[in-house]
Amino acid sequence: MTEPTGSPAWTGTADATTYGGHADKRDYQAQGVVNPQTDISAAEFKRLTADIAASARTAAFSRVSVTCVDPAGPPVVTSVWQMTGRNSSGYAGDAAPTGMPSAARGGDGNVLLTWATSYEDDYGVAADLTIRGVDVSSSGGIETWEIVSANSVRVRCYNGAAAALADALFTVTVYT
Amino acid sequence: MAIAGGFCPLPLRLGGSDEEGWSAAQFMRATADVAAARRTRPFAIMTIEGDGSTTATVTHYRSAHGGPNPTTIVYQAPGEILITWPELLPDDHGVEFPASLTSSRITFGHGSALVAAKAEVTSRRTVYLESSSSAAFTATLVIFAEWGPELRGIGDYGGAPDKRDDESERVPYAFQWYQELGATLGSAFGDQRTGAVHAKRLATARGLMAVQRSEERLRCNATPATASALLDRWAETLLIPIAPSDPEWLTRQRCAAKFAAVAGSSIEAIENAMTGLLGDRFVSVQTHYTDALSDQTTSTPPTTLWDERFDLGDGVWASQQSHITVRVTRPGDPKDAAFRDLMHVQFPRLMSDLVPAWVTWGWSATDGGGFILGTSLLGYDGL
Repeated sequence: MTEPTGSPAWTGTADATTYGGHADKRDYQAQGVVNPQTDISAAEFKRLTADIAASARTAAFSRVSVTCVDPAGPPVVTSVWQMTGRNSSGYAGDAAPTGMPSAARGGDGNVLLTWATSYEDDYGVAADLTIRGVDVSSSGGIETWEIVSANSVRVRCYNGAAAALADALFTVTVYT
Repeated sequence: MAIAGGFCPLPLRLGGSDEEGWSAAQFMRATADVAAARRTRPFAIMTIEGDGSTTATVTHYRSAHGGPNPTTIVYQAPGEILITWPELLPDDHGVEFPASLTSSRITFGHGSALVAAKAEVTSRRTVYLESSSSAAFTATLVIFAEWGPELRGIGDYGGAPDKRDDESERVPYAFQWYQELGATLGSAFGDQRTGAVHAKRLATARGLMAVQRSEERLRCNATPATASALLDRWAETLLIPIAPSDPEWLTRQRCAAKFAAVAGSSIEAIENAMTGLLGDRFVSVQTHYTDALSDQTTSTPPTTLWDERFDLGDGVWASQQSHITVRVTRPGDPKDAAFRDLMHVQFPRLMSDLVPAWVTWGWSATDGGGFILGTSLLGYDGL
C-alpha cells in the first residue's frame, strides 16, 4: 500500500505542498486544460490543496456532548464527532468504545474526559494526540476547563450562583 | 488514465482505475466537501496565557492562513485584552488576502475558579477579551472570519455539474508515444526506465503528447460546451451575459445551450437547449395542441385572449397552438438569486433567440411531482 504523505490532520503539520500543491505547480508547457469537462488545471488543483490545508489546520479534533449523572453515576457521553470517527448512540463514560473518549465524574458538574494517547487516520497512519485548545459550552451554566494532560481535559460547570451545577449538560470541543 | 507521473503531466485528466486514477464522481465529491468545509471552518484557534493585568502570551496559534502567530496582543486594563490581526494575511501560496473577523468564542481555563468572561469582535481586525477576574488565566479563543479568495464554490477547484471521465486519453498519450518510439527504434531504446536514453525517449514522448493534446484542445474549443481558452469569445459571440461571480462552468453551460439553439426551433431542439441551460431543473416542454384545428382559439388582432405582454405590435395576435410552456422544478427558496437570474435573465434571452417571433412562451414551476404551481401568465412571481 502507498503511504500517504505528511501526518494525520490533528498534528496540524500539513500545508498545500503536503497535498501536492507545490508552489511552482504548472500545466505542462503552460497550455491549460484540454477539455474543461474532464480536466483539472494546475491553478485549480493548487487552490484545492491550499483550502484542504487551511480547513485541516483549524478543524476540531473532537466534539463531545456529555450529560452528568450526579451525585454518583458516571457521566453519559451522548455523542462524539471526532476526526477518527463518530458515535451518535451514546455510552456510559466508564465504558467508552474503542477510540472514543472516556468520561469520569469528579464531582457535581465536574468531568474528566480522557482520549487515547495516539490515533490512526483512515490509512492507518498513527500520530500522538496533543490537546492545546478547549472550547466548552453548557446548557444554562458557566463552565471552565483545564488541560490535565496531552490527552485529557477536565470540565467544570457552575450555576449562576457560582455553585457546582449538578446534572450539567455540556459540549466540549478540543483542538490540537 | 493515471493522473500523475512522468507520462501524464498536468492538466490532470479525470478517470482511470481506482489505483492510478481519480474519477469525475470522486473529484466532484472532493470539491463539494472542500467547499462545504471551507464555509464553516474556524479562521483561527489560539490559546492565550496571561497574568491578568500586564502580560499575555499566545502559546498556541493555528489558523487557516498558516504560518506563525501574526497578532499583536495588549492589555487595555486589568482583565481586558485587545487582539489585533494585520490587514493582509498570505495563504499557503503566498497570495495575500484581507481578513474580516465575523465572530468569536472564548472559554477560560481557570481550573476550579469560576470566572465570567467574554470575547467580542470589535472591528474587522480586532477582538476584545474581558474577564471578571484579574487573576492569571489560560483561554482558548476560536475565531471565525471571511478570509481568502471569494468562495464561488466548486468552480474554484475546477468542479462542475457536467464533469465526466476523460475518454480520449485513457492511456496517457505520452506513454503511447513512448511505446511507439520504442517500437520504431527497437533495441536501440531498450526497456530501461532509468538513464539518459530513457530520459530522452520520455522527453520526446511528452513533446509529442503536447502536440496531440493541442489538437484535442483545438477541437474542444471549437464548441462552447467543451471550450476553455476560447470561452470568453464564445460568450461574446453568443451574447451571453456574464456576471463577475459566475463560475466558468456556468458560462460554458449557457453558451452550450445557446449554441444548441442554432439547430432550429423544433420541440426537440428546444428540449435540448432547455436541458443544457436548466440542467436538473428542467422538467418538460409543454405544448398546447389539440386534435382539431377548429378547436383552436385563434386570435386575430386585436384580441383580449392573450396578455398584453405578448403584444408584438398592432395588438396581441397569437393562438394557443403557438404557445410553449417550459416546466421547471421549484427551488427550495423562492428568493433564490441564482434561480431568478436563470429564469428572468438567461431563460428569456435563450427563448427569444430560439423560437420564431410568432411563438409566445412562458414557464411554470412544479414541485417535482408534476403539480403545476404556476401558469405561463402567472409565473413564478405570482406565487
